[in-house]
Amino acid sequence: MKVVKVLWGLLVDDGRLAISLVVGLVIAYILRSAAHLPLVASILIWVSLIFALWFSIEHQLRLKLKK
Amino acid sequence: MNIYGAISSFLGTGVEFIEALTIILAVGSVRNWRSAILGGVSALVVLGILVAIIGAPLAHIIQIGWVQLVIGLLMLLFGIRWLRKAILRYAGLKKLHDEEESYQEELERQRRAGAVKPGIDSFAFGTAFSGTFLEGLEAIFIVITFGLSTHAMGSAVLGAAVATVVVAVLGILLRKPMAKIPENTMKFIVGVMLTSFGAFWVGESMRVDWPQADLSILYLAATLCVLSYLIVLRCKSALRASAAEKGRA
Repeated sequence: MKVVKVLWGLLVDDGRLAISLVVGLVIAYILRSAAHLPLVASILIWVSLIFALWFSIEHQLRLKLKK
Repeated sequence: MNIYGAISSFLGTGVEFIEALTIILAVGSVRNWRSAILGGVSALVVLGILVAIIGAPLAHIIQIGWVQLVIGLLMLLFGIRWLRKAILRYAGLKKLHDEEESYQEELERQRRAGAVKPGIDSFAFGTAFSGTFLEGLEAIFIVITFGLSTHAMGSAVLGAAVATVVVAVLGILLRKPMAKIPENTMKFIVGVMLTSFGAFWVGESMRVDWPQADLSILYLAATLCVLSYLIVLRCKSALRASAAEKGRA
């Protein structure tokens, strides 16, 4: 369990960042494989990066402003 | 020779080696130089063997989708974590990583650990070994991912080897932490690179249609740079406004 925690911590500091990114990737995969929209899927990956970073840092900013 | 792969690997592994060097310098100056250097070198030897065992087979199966997916995901999560931290630091939401402070903390920890024993100091050896090993593992990951993504493993290994030599020479010359190297800037650049490569590779594994194919890595990176700049501006402005409001209250 400790090993898993260390590995998770090595990769991820904020669950929001990782989860929003992974959700975006999963939707992109569905768009590519089920809907056959490879271009839309690539744009969605691109947008996911922007959204995940913005979402995570905006949360940190709110926490800081609340202090 | 792939210059981009070599430079990316050099920058990425350089950051890790600077952190490892901080530990070795701290352990060496307080406990035992010989044991600290031996610990660091032993870790590098073990990591070298790991690269030889794991790195080469991975390079041969680059075309398999699941390898692209797994390494792409790791690269993406790893890179975006660095990028997020660098942005938080630039924006003033997180303290800048102070190597001098880390060095002093390590010195204090070492002093508290007790007297130095003659011969090989197991504490110094163990600390230097584990520190170098952990940082080196991240460096291996960087070398493999840049080597695979640029299809130039030799260039990525060369970049890491040059980084090792440069950081080692710096350590020998300075004998103090690399406090003056703008670590956050390096982490930001490497974070953008890893995130762009990771996103591209994950997309490739899904067989998405990247406009302009490999060139998409450049516009992904450019987007991340612009986004980071805008986020930093927005955070600084919000923090200033909040401070002014508190000042008036």
